[in-house]
Amino acid sequence: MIKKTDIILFVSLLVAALLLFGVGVLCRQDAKIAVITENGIEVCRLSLEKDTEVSLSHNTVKIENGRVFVKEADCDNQLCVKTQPISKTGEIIVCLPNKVTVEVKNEG
Amino acid sequence: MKGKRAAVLGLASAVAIAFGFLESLIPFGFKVGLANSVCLFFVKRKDYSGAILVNAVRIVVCTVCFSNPVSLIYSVSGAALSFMAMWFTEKLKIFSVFGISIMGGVFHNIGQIIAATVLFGSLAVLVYFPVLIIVGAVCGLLTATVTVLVEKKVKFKI
Repeated sequence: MIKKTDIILFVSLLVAALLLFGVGVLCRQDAKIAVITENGIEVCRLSLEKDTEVSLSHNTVKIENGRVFVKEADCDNQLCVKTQPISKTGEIIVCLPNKVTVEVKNEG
Repeated sequence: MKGKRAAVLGLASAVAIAFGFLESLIPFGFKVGLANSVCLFFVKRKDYSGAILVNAVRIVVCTVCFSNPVSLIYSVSGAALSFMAMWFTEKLKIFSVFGISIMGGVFHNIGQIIAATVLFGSLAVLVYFPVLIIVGAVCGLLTATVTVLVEKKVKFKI
């Protein structure tokens, strides 16, 4: 049956994950550009300073007030649409069914 | 004995494939790792060749039947790293089947995130790393529970 060592292992993994998450959050900076990829190929890089809208094969990505979000998607789960707008480095929106990623970065 | 081993491995592969089919019904590729409970069953009995064989058969059949070639890369890297982690954890002799399974679950996800990093060609997917550690550990616990329940029912020696 379950041993004490198993529980120690489980708890230490949880702590490690939380620490990693904390480090990730602390390292975040304001991003300058959004990089959109479809099927692993980069479609475009857009400045977050200008409000625009981009239509992809299955998704519509919108930039507004320095933040980027997925406005529309034709997939069933709509997870990317429900994801909050992103603007800090390290944040990403992924649409698995349509293989689309929207990533925000610092460099031009 | 050879014939019996072939029969047991065949049976185990069939169970693993059935689990794989069940999990392929879950949308957008999230898996609990039920199929891994079969692998864990063999690792627990120190039958490492059996674990590798059953995993290999399952991955090939499941990919051909229910999935696409791209997911083969994720499956293989996840299963390989998971098996190595479970093998190593078993050798340490300080963990029960639950600890072995937790390590298996976590390293399965680490294997997949490495594959995703290579395939997407960007480190951005590493954002999910902390979440995947937690999910892997929890799924590992579930998988171990399945294995323990099955162990109680399986009376014959393999």
